[in-house]
Amino acid sequence: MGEDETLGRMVVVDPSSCTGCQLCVAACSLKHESQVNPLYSRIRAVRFEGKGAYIPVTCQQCKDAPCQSVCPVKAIERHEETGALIVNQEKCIGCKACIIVCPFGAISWTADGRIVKCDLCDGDPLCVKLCTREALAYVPATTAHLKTQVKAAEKFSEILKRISGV
Amino acid sequence: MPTALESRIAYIDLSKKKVNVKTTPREWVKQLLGGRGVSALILYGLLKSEVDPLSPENVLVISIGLMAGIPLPSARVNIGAKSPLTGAIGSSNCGGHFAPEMRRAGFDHIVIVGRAEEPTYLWISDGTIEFRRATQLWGLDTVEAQEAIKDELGDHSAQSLVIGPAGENLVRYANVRTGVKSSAGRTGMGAVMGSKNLKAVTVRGSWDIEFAYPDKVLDLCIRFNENLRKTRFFTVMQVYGTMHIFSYTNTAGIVRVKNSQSNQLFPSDNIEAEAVRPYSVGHEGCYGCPIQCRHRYVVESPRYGLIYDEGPEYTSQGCWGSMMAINSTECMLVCNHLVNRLGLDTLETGSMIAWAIEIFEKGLIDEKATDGMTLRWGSPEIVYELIEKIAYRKGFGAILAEGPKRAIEKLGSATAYYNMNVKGMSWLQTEDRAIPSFVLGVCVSTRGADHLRSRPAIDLFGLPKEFLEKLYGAPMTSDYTSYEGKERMVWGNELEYAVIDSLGLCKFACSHFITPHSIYTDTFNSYQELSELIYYVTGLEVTGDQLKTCGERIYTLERMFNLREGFTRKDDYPPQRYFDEPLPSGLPIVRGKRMDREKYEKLLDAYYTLHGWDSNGVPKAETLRRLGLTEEGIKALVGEVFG
Amino acid sequence: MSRHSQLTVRCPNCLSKIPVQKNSAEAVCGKCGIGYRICWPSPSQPMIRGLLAPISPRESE
Ligand code: SF4
Ligand code: SF4
Ligand code: SF4
Ligand SMILES: [Zn+2]
Repeated sequence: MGEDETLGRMVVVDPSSCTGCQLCVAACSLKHESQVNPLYSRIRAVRFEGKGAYIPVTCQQCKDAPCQSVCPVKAIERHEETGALIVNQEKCIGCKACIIVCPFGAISWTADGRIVKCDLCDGDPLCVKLCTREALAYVPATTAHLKTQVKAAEKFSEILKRISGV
Repeated sequence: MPTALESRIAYIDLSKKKVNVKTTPREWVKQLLGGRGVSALILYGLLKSEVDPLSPENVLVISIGLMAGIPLPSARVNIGAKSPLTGAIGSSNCGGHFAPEMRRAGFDHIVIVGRAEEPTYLWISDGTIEFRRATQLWGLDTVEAQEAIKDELGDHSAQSLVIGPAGENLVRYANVRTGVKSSAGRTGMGAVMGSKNLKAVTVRGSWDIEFAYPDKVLDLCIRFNENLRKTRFFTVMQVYGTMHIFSYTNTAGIVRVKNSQSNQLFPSDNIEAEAVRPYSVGHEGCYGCPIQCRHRYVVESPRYGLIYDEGPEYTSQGCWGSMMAINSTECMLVCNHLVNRLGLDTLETGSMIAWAIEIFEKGLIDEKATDGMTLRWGSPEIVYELIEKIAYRKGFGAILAEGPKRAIEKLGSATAYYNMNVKGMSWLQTEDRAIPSFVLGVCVSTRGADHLRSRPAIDLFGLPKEFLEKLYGAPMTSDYTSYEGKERMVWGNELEYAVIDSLGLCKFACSHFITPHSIYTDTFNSYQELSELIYYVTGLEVTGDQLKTCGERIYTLERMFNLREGFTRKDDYPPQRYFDEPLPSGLPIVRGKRMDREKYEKLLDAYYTLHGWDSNGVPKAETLRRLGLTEEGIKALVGEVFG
Repeated sequence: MSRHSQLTVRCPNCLSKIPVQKNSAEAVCGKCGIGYRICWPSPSQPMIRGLLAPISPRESE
């Protein structure tokens, strides 16, 4: 596989398809923490049910990652194959600075005192596998914008149709 | 930390503002699983027969299924009490996101007695229970109330079971709701909450949900997800939800039209599932479910403005479409919205309105009874008006709000023939008199006319005899208009549904586990799979046979509740209309069909025999012994907690 | 079997399989002659949506 296909892949979220079902959340927690607790899931699907909005939030595996930069002991390392930023539990001193700086709230602190974040499941993300509404996709970062682009184009064509009356 | 085995029960007295917490006995789990099963035991054990369902003495049980929280459609929460609609056992469940949150908050069962002095809601979080004032919530609709609670608590993940104005006004078929659309609709549990001055029960938890074999649970969930996605059923459910059923049933001619005067609506293009798609802005569903079966929709109504809601389901489609003879998407979507927000059971409301229109049409009531309204078919405005009147008990609405039994008393015995009910609860929106298995299931259902206690939908598929024999363990015809062997079909499904309900699984999504599952995978023993799941989740070894016995125990216990309230064999029959009037319309296979009383009597006998009940439908002594349901047996079980 | 032969619905009256043309909105049962309207939950999955025309009692007898 070329660089585009593995290194630099990401989990892209599509809020307009998400139903807030929590499958990704429950399964992630079950896989990584052997129990179901959304607090320790690496992904969240925030539900605004009254407003009908469901927003998945997960780690973006940032290029200039604030979590990595802020870490005083360099405990957050990039995985060679997947490009995921991984917490090295040996090095981590539990200062929680990464939790504070992550703009997505993608890092959490477990009850038994560990810093945890998305590790892309070694290149086979479980959340993506279980999401039946295709609100999550594991794609090369270079193509991450395509789905949104097409959706926007579809909306645009709807508007055109309405204006021209055909 | 909550596991399915070490869960807790909260006993809450609203009058005394007292809380008592106990652990769930292991025996309860082994014998009744959770949810509906445990609810039946508590109701049987704590209630006395003369209790008025709307008095403080009634017991309200909120009980989650044993599987709550796993990444599967496992989020059914059961609400039980003596029903103010029927006087029989009240029991209704719904999905949404409440059940896993309740387990994380530290409780599997909440038992509520008494009556609060002022409107109250319960705030249950991480093992603590707080009584909170709800005067500011009284009068709010079911979604407004949930949003207001979240705002007040500053916690947008809190999940609530709430009642709407209908529950506050003690409409005997008010429901209990969570989220925008999930409703525990049947048997009037919302009125029981209203009678207790209880607007909501709100839960929020941060505790872990733990399992005996977490890796195995995860494997099974992944396998389930993958297998389900391969089926045709999955696609149809994802796109249309339960509304796809209407396309089949209305085509065949097995839906109620104009109350119960006909069985097929034509044209029906605007109320078919496909017609809702243009209004859909996405989907929604319950916790952990790969299907997510309902639409989120937006509709513009001249009367109500811009509406956002979820659904509708097959039932609402039938009630507000075919049953009213209204071929309008907008009417269906608006009515669904109204009953949701007001907190009314869509089915009972639709059925009562349809009955009112028919008896008006027949001249059995006139404008004097209806506050001057001229009732007729095909008018959305009349339907909207009546829904609102029922919820607020205004004028004629106050009569309809009383449900079949009491409304018939008020409007005259001549109207009784036209009211389609069993045990005082209305028949569903389907017209079943061509299908004996369906009729039997609805009539013997322990909570009054209802399909979700047994519906053998599989009967319609025309499957080969050999296949059915293997599945049900006895010879059976593949002809759905036949009576032959149908007692076994109903009985078999009753037991499975009781188990599924008590585990808190979704009957639709987990058809992978229950009967129709076999069609996809050639597995003929779904209990086997369930016992595997239970083992991984709890570590308890419950064999497939033992599970089946759990189903028998739960069903018989509910039957015993009803017997104690005076219900017997006489209450297990369809309305007279089913024997008298042949179906006027529909496909040749159903047209002209009606029920045959003699054959039905025999079917009923055979059905009782399978359960180990006598010819009056009373469990025999040996059955009670076998199921551990003798008076001493029950006393011992109940005594473990409430001794 | 060709892919076309997989596009079928089952006649609710006689239970025989009715072939459906791709994207077609109608299909008629070859055995009992009843016409149905078709909808498509997915491009490869036809489903009966409703009747094409009401069946008059006489036709069915
Ligand atoms: S599994 Fe998909 S649809 Fe469900 S909450 Fe997660 S992202 Fe949303
Ligand atoms: S944890 Fe946050 S900051 Fe770090 S890479 Fe992920 S999204 Fe970026
Ligand atoms: S990518 Fe892996 S770790 Fe991250 S949320 Fe998905 S399953 Fe969890
Ligand atoms: Zn045919």
